[in-house]
Amino acid sequence: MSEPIVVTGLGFVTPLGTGIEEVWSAFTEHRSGVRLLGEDDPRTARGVDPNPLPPSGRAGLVRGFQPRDHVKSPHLRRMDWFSRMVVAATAQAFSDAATSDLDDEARSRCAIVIGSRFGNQRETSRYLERVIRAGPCAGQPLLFPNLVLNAAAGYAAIELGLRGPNLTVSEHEASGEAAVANAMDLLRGGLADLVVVGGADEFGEVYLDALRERRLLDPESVPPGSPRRSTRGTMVPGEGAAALVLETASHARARGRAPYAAVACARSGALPAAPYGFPEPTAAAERLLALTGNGSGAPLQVAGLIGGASGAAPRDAIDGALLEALRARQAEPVTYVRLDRLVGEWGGRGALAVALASLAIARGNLPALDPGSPEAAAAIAPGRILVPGAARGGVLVPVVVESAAN
Amino acid sequence: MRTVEQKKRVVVTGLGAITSAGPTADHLRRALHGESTCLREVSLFSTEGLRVHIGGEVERIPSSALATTAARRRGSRSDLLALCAVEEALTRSGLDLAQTSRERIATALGSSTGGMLETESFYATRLEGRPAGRFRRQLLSTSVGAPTELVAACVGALGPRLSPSTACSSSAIAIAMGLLWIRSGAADVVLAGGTDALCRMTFTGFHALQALSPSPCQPFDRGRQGISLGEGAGVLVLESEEHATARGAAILGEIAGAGISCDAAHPTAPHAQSRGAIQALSTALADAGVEPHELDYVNAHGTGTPQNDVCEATAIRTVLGEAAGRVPVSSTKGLIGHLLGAAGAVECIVTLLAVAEGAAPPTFGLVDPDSECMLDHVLGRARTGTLATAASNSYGFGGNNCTLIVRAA
Repeated sequence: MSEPIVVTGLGFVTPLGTGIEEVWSAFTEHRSGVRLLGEDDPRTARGVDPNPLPPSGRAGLVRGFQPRDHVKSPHLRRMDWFSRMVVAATAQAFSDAATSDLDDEARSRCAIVIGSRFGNQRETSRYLERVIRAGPCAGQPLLFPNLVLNAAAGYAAIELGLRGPNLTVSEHEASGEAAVANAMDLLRGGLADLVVVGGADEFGEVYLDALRERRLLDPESVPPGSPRRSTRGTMVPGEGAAALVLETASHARARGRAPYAAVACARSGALPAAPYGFPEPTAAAERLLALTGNGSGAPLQVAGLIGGASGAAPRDAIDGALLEALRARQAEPVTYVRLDRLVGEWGGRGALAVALASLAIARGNLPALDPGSPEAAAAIAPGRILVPGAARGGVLVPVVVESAAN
Repeated sequence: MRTVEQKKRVVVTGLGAITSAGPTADHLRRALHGESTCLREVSLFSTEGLRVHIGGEVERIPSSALATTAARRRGSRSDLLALCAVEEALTRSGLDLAQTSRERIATALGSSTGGMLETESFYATRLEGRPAGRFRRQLLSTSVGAPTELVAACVGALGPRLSPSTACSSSAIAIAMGLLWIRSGAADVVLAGGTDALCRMTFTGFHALQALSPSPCQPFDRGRQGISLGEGAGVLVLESEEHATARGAAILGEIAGAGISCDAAHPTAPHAQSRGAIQALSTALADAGVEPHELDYVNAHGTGTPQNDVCEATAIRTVLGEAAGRVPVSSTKGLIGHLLGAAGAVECIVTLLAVAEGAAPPTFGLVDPDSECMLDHVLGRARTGTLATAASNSYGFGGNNCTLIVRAA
């Protein structure tokens, strides 16, 4: 049996707030980060966000985040908003894991894995619009290096001095969960002793346009005055970054760091799906649960589900089918959390779900957040929590978090 | 004496490459030993006003039998390049999909820009106030994860999936992760590689950084002026040796080891003392259980920029020591350009072809080696001999480094 992988550090830059305590109190008190951006919002203050936000309606927008409070690197002034969120969240997690004693040699065995769907959208838009309007000579040398998806992970490596593998992965809606699964692969494969893993996405034009085109947006989230105001969707877009430090239990023990929780399973698989479509919900639920059994033995029993419902009907149906399957097969009640109601929908959000699950395990409290659920009022001490990554193309990445004492 | 840990052997049973040399790996193989570059004037978009107009553009992407109607209608150029390479690799491997557990087939395709070319067209239509048409429909399929999902859906692969995007080392890292999955037992077969299409963003971006060469790039040459961009896809069929042997597959080579590192120093420039590149090469050799003097060939990242080539040569000399003077080194970028996210996979294929044929290809465009890049460069024509073990280096923005170790079958 392979050695347990534990969570020893957490970091957050989210619509719920920045840092563990702000996020935890908003999460447990059901204070949503979905809002309208006001003209006097601190977000618009100088030095916070280098790029203007696209016109929008309601969205899960990061609040109260001052990059300078978290990022020491002189590269900060050149970082885009996406990179600022990623570097701040990873720096918080690395510091929270009590890693200051790791020397240069140890840092050559520390990896970074970031999951994101679109990365730095707004500077990409700025860059492309300029090139398209003014011609090929209008490319901007200072902006271009930020446009690759892995720029943020590179900045995080510089900030933290981590010289092990540095990966950015993208699996549509399951990018955050895929990053966690990849981090587990690196640890189990012996490519790293410690991994800072995160998921992030920013609120930008490409994503908004894609949702508007599909008429997936919630009416309140459609930008005022948009010619495509008509919509039948319920999706609220969002942004944020969350990060965790993962390491083997023995590595954490040797450093004297007590873990928040253990990752019992993080594994990627798939089901047939039309290109760019979601898999059939009942089959997806069964496959997600089967993947938690690691190919042998029964699926793991879970007490909580931090779902991936997003307001897109096919994705919401997977959470519904999963709850039904869990309730049919286990006596233990299942507490359900719909995170998109609190932070909006973004591709790297799965990492936030895994980070919140780790906190919930450590603090013995997972607040239910689903008005349609019979257990809506119940907040239970969770045993295991499932984060069911599911994305277009049929990709499925269940992550199960449990007590490190198991 | 070093104890080498017993690791599951990971073999290559199929490969496919579409590049400016042509739509198959065989076209690439012939071009490697030919006498003319495949770089020509770019036609996909305007380069008006720039001082550089050449690139390794793929002339024609053959329609893939794997492509579904939705894939043909909505697939990006990167997606279609990937499908073409996958079809060739699968055909060559002789893998009978009907007889293979789909849940044991994994997919790992790296890309640096995914469907950026189509995103650009969307922006262009929007800014010009024209209907965005099919480009609007393609928006959700422009992320760098789209090629992996499309390929897996078209092939019916239901095992683990990963879409690494680590700039120019993306597909090398995809192969490294495939190696890891087979060793760990997570999959029996992995479709591993990468894809990237030329696009305005990278062309104008590298031009703005003054990193593009106006003539075909000349890696390691004293007169080198920068990189030449290219496009394409490269895909390997990786299998556990047991799986390949059980089905009687022809084994083309072995991926024996991988090393991945980060410079953690600068967003774009390599570390001045080549710290990350040294770490990647030495880790890969240790992973493969190969001593530096046992290397018979190095396929260099060899971009043709003044700084990168010096740093890579330093890394090779540092790790190989005295052996660096007698290990042939070459780069393919003067021939087909820098394929960015697809470069690592296509160059791994070049390395596999080199060890299979016992012929290290020459560096096209290298005439007068820079004294700061002193290595045993392959000049003019291929160097023949027994090439049992070789390394392929890939480096990228963000300080990413990945070295793969390849063994002959």
